[in-house]
Amino acid sequence: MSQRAKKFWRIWDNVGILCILLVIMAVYGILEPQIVNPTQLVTALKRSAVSGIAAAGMMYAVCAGGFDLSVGSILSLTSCVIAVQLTSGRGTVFSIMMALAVAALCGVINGILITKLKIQAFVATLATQLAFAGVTLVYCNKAIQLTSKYNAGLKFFSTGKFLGIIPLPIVLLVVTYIISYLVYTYTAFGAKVRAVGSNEQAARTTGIKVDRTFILVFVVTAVSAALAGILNTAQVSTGNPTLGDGFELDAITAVVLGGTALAGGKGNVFGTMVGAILVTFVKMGLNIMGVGEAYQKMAVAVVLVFALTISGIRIIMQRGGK
Amino acid sequence: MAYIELKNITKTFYGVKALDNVSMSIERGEVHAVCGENGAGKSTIMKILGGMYFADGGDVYIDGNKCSIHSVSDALKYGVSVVYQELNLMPDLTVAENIYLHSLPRKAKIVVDKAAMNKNAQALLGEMDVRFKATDFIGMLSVSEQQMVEIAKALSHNADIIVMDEPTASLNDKEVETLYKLIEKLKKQNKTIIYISHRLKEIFDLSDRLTILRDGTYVGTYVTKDITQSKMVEYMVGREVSEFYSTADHEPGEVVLEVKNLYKEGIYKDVSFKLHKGELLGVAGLMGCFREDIVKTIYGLVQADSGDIILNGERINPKNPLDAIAHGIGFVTEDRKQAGIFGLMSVRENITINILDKIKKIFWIKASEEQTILADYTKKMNMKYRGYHQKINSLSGGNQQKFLLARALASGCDVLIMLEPTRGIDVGAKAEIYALLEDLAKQGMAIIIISSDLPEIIANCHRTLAVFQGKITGDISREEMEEALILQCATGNKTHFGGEEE
Repeated sequence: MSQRAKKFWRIWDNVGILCILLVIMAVYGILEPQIVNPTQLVTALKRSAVSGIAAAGMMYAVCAGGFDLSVGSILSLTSCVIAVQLTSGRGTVFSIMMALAVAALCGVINGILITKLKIQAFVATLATQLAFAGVTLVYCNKAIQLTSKYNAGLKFFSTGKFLGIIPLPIVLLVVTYIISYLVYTYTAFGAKVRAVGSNEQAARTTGIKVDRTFILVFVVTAVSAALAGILNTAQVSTGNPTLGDGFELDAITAVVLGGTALAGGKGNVFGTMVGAILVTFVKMGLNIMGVGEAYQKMAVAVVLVFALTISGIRIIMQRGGK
Repeated sequence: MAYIELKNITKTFYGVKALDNVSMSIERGEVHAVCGENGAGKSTIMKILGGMYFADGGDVYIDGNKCSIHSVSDALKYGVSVVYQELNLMPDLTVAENIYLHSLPRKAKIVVDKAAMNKNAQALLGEMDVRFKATDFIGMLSVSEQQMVEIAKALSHNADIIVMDEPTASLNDKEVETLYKLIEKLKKQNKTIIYISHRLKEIFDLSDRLTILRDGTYVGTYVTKDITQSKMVEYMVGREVSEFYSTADHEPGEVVLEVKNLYKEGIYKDVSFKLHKGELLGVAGLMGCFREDIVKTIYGLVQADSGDIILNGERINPKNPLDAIAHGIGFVTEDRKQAGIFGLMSVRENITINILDKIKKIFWIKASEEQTILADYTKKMNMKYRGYHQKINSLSGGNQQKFLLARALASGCDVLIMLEPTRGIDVGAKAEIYALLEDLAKQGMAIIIISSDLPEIIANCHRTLAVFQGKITGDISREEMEEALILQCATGNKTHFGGEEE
């Protein structure tokens, strides 16, 4: 590849997905100007907070060379934990802590299955997806409506405003990604995740605690799913045992769109956030235009294939250049 | 014209000549041995004959006809069947299925005729005097039994020419004897056998004639009974011994590391040696002698069944690399790409990856400290890169190797284990690595070097251990160090400890 082509791809790595988002916004702007007004944009950001926060954790699993299919079930489980705790009279903070602790435990279970029992991440988390969903239904077999008596504290997360202007879900989304970026780039944990994903055998040879890193990664993924679950529960004021069904695919879509390599080792923190926003925005725009859910799904598929085709072109160019 | 004629065969891998204009001829019905050191080109030329590789230049004639061999099935068509050094078996299929995978016997052209297949396979195995059955699964067999299956597979083609590439590398004595008998039998059937082995004894026991290759060139073909072992080794080595000299001219100090009676079933046994402060210890041996396993045990990558590793008088027996690093043992792998570098990470991160916990402040890695470490080693080792953000996989092999060495040193070791220190790097970087190792030794680092390049060991080491079949067969001091002696020990023809030969 020429130097200019290399430079282009370096820039594309950082802002490519953002460019795609802007193009989609422009298209919407032409077709239906009211979709791109500030109120709608704020709504889009608020709606993308749930999948965005879960995707932040998922990116670590993918970057480490793994996968986590159980985040949807973990989201449902935390939703139920928090609802059951609140309705049995516990405080908001205690309930949140309980939900986070349960999620962390789920992450440890995933990690142990993968590292100690040597089950592939895909299969292990497929099993725990079912197991956690089952546990959730045993614990709480139907949706629990949270009346304002119990919901007062939790509601703040979905309706509160930072400095009186910025909706709290957006703040949570951005803060999550800033923390994720700092951890990914500047901490020993972040470096180890990248190392394990880049070359697991080298990591073992070098003396990195590969198993511990993996377990921690799955705890991070599970806890971020729990945060998403808490926020979602607050938004719908309901503890729902099927709240997160199919949710893992939303998170994975955002991660892949964001430019994280499924082969591991190469993550993209802010790309993931933009990916989550993009998916929400595409669906919302179509919704406003009166296009049904079936076509919304197809549209997301088109965007996904388009984004990955661009990565494909890059690979073809690299091979050709050599 | 001889039965098989290989004419002017040339093969280049990534710009390195593996075979340079090699011509050799083999007569019908003989056992013809091909000998040479690691990298002489023995396996390469046989892979060309067997259709695994395609020669860049040259021709193959069998029985007077020019052959165009482009694949394994082409080679089989000309009657050439090869027992490869590497096992190519499917563990979840049976012995019979593996043997006949190339042409499964069928009923009505569709259904596999299992009965016929098992019967034929069992008949083949019957000739080989083995203890397993045709219906056993490959995965249940030992490595040496699998090797016998490979041989049966090659025989199943009923080929006239059978090439055996290190067939005995993993066989025990009884199995070797079975193979001897088998070869005798094949010879009586007027089959031609080309035999590659590192074991000189086998070559002298089995072969009628032998061809010697050296560094990808043809040295000569000799009638086996007219040549002596020492003459043969001399031809294999071929260089003037005085070309090489040891530059390690300082005296090693007290014992730092002692290895006592290491034993691991089927891998190595009775391994004992001492390593001194400031010493450069070479470990030589031919492919499949398990020398890597021995040193990897010291670094905790391989676990011994019994025996002790004693560092500065303290028994450490590291359970994993982390443990070894904590005791001050550094390690540079032979497999830079697969087990060494983190290709997607920056040069800076590649140095500090295993000391992150030491240089972090609560959570954050101190970038300034990483920078200092990088700058420090850049100066010491003359590493070349554009900036600290550059990804390591865009550097040359020599530069990557320096980074791996820097990583081992940065974790604060006083025993350094380096496998194949100069594999795949250019001449300039080689000289720099040698100079670095010598400097480190002078400063008191105890260094173990494993190398397949004997001149490299002779030029740099104070002492050399020769390993043969997982046992140390030679402990050779600098004064006695010469390629012929090391090779004699490494091929199991001699044992030599501190001037005493047996």
